[in-house]
Amino acid sequence: MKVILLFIPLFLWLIGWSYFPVEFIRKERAFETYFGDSVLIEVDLAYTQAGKPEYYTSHVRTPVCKDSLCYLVVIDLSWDLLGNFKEYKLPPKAPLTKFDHDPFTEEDHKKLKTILSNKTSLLRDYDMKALVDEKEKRTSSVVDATSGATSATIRDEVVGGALYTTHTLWHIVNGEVAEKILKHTEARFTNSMLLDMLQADNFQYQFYALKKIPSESTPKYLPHLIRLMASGDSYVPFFAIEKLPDVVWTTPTYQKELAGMVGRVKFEMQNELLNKLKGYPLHSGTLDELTRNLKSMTEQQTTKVLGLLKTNQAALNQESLVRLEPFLESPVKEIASLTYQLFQSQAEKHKEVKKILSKREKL
Amino acid sequence: METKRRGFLKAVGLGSGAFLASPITLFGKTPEELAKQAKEEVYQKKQYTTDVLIAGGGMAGVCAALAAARNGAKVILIQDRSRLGGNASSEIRMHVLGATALRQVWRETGILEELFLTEAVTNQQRSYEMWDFVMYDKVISEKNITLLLDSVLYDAEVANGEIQMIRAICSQTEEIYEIKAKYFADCTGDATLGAIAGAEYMRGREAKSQWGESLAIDKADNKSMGNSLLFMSSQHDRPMPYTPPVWAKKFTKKDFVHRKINTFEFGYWWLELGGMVDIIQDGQKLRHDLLTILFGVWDYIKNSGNHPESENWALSWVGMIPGKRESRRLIGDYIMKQEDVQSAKLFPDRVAYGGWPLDDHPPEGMSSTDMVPYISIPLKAPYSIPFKSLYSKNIKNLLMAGRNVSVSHVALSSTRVMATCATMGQAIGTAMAYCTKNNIKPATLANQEAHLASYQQLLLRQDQPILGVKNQDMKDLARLAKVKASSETKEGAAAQVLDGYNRDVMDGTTHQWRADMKAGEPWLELSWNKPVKINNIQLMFDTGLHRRLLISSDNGVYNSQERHAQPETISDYTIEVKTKKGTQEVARVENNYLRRVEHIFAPVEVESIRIKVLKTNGDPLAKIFEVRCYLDEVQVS
Repeated sequence: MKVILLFIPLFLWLIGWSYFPVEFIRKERAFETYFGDSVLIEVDLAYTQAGKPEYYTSHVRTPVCKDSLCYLVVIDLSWDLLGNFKEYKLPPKAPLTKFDHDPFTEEDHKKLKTILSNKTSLLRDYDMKALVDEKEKRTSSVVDATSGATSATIRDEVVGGALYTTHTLWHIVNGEVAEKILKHTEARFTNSMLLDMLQADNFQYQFYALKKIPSESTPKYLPHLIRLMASGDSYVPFFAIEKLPDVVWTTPTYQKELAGMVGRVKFEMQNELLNKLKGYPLHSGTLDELTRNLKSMTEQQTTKVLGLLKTNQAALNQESLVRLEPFLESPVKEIASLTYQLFQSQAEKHKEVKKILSKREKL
Repeated sequence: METKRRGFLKAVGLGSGAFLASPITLFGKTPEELAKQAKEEVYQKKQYTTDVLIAGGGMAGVCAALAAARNGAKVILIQDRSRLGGNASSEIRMHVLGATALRQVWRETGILEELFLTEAVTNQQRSYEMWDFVMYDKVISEKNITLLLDSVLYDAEVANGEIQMIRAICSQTEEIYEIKAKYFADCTGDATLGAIAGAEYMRGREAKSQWGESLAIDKADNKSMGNSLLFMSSQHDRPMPYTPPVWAKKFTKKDFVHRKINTFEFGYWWLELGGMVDIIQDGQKLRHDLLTILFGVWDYIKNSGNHPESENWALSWVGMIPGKRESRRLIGDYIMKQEDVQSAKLFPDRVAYGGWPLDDHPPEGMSSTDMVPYISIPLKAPYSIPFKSLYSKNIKNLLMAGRNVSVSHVALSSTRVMATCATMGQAIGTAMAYCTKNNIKPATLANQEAHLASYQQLLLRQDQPILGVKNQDMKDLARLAKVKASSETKEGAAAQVLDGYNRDVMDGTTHQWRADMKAGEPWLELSWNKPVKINNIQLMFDTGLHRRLLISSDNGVYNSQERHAQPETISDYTIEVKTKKGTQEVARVENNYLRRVEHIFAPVEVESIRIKVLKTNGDPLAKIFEVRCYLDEVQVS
C-alpha cells in the first residue's frame, strides 16, 4: 500500500501536473511565529518551477474569540514576496461563518479580500475593545454576533456580522507576519530578484525594486528604467525618471532616446521629460526628435519646446527647422513669434530657412 | 485753525526753517537730554488687577474670554497680534475643523456656534478680515473684557505654586503691562505662560510603552507634527505667468504622489515642515523654509506643464505666519490618551468634546515627499474631554485650552483642531468665572461632585457642546411647567422642549417641538399650576448641526454650506407672558439667526408663557429644541 501511495505523485506528474499544481510546488519553511500568545503561524516560501522564490503561504488554524467564546478558523493564506496579502483559500469542510453560523457569501469573501489587502485599514489602529461599543454589545451564544455594535465609520471596514473574524484575520495577515516576510525576502534578496521585480507588472514590486537600484550603477538598468518611465504602474514612472543619472541626460544617443519618448508616454511624463531636458545642453539629434513630436503637443508644450530650440539653436539642423514652418502661422502669438525669431536668426546659416522667410515676405 | 497751526509750527521752529540749525527740540530739550530720557522711560509700566488673565487670542482664548466675562468675571485678554483668531484668523487662514468630520450631528455649539452663525449672516462677501472682526466685535462688546492687542507675554511671577502676576510688552504703545489675576489661562498654543511659570509640560512623541498606545511610536523622541503655511489664489480672465524667486525649491511629479493638487484657490495643508526641528525656537528659519516650498509648489503648478488649467490663476495671498499643530502640552491632573479618544469614554468631569479623527502627521512633512503626509483614523463617535486635562497639575491657578492641554501626542492628533480648542476655551472660561464666584481652585471644582454638577449644568445652559449631560438645572423653572402647542408633528411632540436635550443626539428622537408653518402661526405654551416669577426666557433653535459651518478659503468646504441664516432656524417670533393682570408681550424678534437666544426682562409672576412663531428662515416646520425659564439673581448674558 505504501508503495502505491509513493507512486501517486509520479503518476500525477505523468498525466500532466498542471491539474494539481499545489502538490508539486516546492515549498520551504521560511519561519515560524506566534500570533498572540498561542497561535502558531508556520510560514512557507513557495518557489517557481525555475526555482525562484514566488510567494509565501501559511496554513493557519486560529481561534476567533469573543470574551471566552471561540470558534476555529482554518484558512490558507498567501502573501507576495514583500508581505502584501495575495489571497486565501478555505478547506471545503470549514467555511468562514458569521452571525448565527451563516456562511460567508461571495460578496462577503470579496469584501474580506479587499479589507485584508488594505494595509492601512482602520482595523490596524483599533483594538477590539475600542471597536465594539459596550453599550450596544448584544449577548449572543455565537461569536461575531455583535453586528449591531459596529458604528457607521467601522461598518465599511468589516464584513457585516463578522467583526471578530475580520479583525483577527487582518491582524494575522498584516501584522508581524507581513513584517517578517519582508525581512526574510530582504535577507535573501538577489540581483536576479531585483531584475524580476523591475520587469513585473505589479506596482509594489516595481516600486520596491526601483528603490533598491544603487545610484552609481544605474546605466546598467537603463532599459528597465525606460520601460518603467513609459509603462510603469501608478506613480512608478515619476520615480524611475529621477533615477536616471546625469550621464544619461548628457550623452547624445541617450538624450535622443529620451526626447523620442515624449511622443509615446503619457501627458505628465511628457512634461517631466521636457522639464528635465531644459537643464542640459541639447544635441542636434535630440532637437530633431523634439521637432518631430511637436504635432501631438499642447500649446504650452510647444512653447516650451520652442524655448528649448531657441536656447540650443546652434545645434539645430535645417531639417528640424523646416519642420517648424507651419508654426509661423500659429494663431498663438507666442508660438508664431518664437518660431519667427528662430527662422530669422538661422536664415543666414540655412538656405531653406531663408527661402521660407523670403517666400513669406513676398506674400 | 490754519492760523493756529502756523503759529505752532513757528513756535517749534519748523516754519522758519530754524529746525535744522537749532539744537532745541520740540520739547525744548537738547538731543542729548532727550536720548538720556528715552533710555530711562520709553516703555511705561502699567498695572492691572483682574479676576482672569487669558494669554492668547486664538479660538480657545477668544471663547474663554467671552465665557468668563459673560459669567461675571473681570477679564484681561492679551494677544500678541493685532487680530484675534490665531490659526483661524486672516493672518493664517486655517479653517476651524472639528466634530463635523464625523458626518453625523455633532457640529460644536456654544460660543463657537454663535460666532459662525453670525459670520455666515454678516460676512456673505467671504472676507477673511471681516471674520476677524466678528470675533473682535464679540470681545470688544463685553464690558467685562479688557482687550490688549499686540501684547506679548514674557514674564510671570509665581509664589506658593500660584501665578501672582504676568508681564507683557506692547511695542506699538511702548508699554509694559503688569497684570495680577486670580486665575490665569494659557491659550497661547505653545504653552508659553505655563512654561514661564514652571508648569510641568510634555514635548515630542511618547513611546508605545508609556501609555500602551498602539498608534504611538516605538521609541520616544522630540519630534512633532509640522507647521503649515497657506496661500490663496484667484482666477483671472487671461493667462497669468509666474516666475518664482530664485530661492524657491524645485519639485517634480514624484513629489506629489501622496499630495493631491485638485484645486488652486486655497493652498494645501500638506505644505508642512518643522517636525524634525525645534518648532518654537527654529521658527525664523522654518518660516523661510516653508516659503521656499510654497513658492516651489506654485512654480510646479504654473510651470511644470502638468496643470495647464492653472494658466489663468495667480497667487492673491500668501501667509507669513505658519500655522502650528503641536509644541508644548501642559500636564494636568489627567492626560488624555488614544483609548479615551477611540473608545469615546464618558469622563465624569466631561466639559467639552471632540470628533476629529486621530490625524497624526509624520514630522518629515515636505522634506520627505515619498511618505504619506498623514495617518488619519476616523472615529466612531464624539469623545468627551475631561476638565482634569484643562488645568495644570502643579500651578494651582493655571488653566489651559487649545492645543497645549494635557493630552498625549496621539490624542493631540485629534484634540488639536480649532473647533475642539474653542470648546475647551468656553469650558475653562466658564470654570474661571465659577471659581471666582465660589473662591475655589480648579482642582476643587474637578473633584467636588456638587460643584462639578452645577458647573456642567451651567455649561449646558450656555449651550456648551458636552456629551451625556441632560438639563437638570434646579433653577430652570420651565422644568416644572406643562406644555401644549397649537399643533405638533408626529416626530415633534411639544413635550420634547422639556425633555432635557437641546440637540439631536442620534438616539432616534428629534428632541424638538415641530409644527407645520402652513397651519398659520404655530405657538407653544408653557403653563404652571402655581404662578412662577421669572426674568429670563431662553430658547434653543435648530441650526442644522449635521452640516458644516465655518469660513473657509476652500471652495469645496465653503460651497457645501448655508452661507446665510440657517434655514431650520426660527426667524420671527413673539413671546407673551400671562400674568394675573393679563397678557403682556416680552419679546418680539425679527431676523433671528442664532441658536441660543435669551430674553431678559424685569421680574414678573407668570401663569403661562406663549412663544408664537411668525416665520422661519425657510424651513416648512417651526422647530424649537428647548425652552428654559429663570429668575436670575445676577443676570447672565
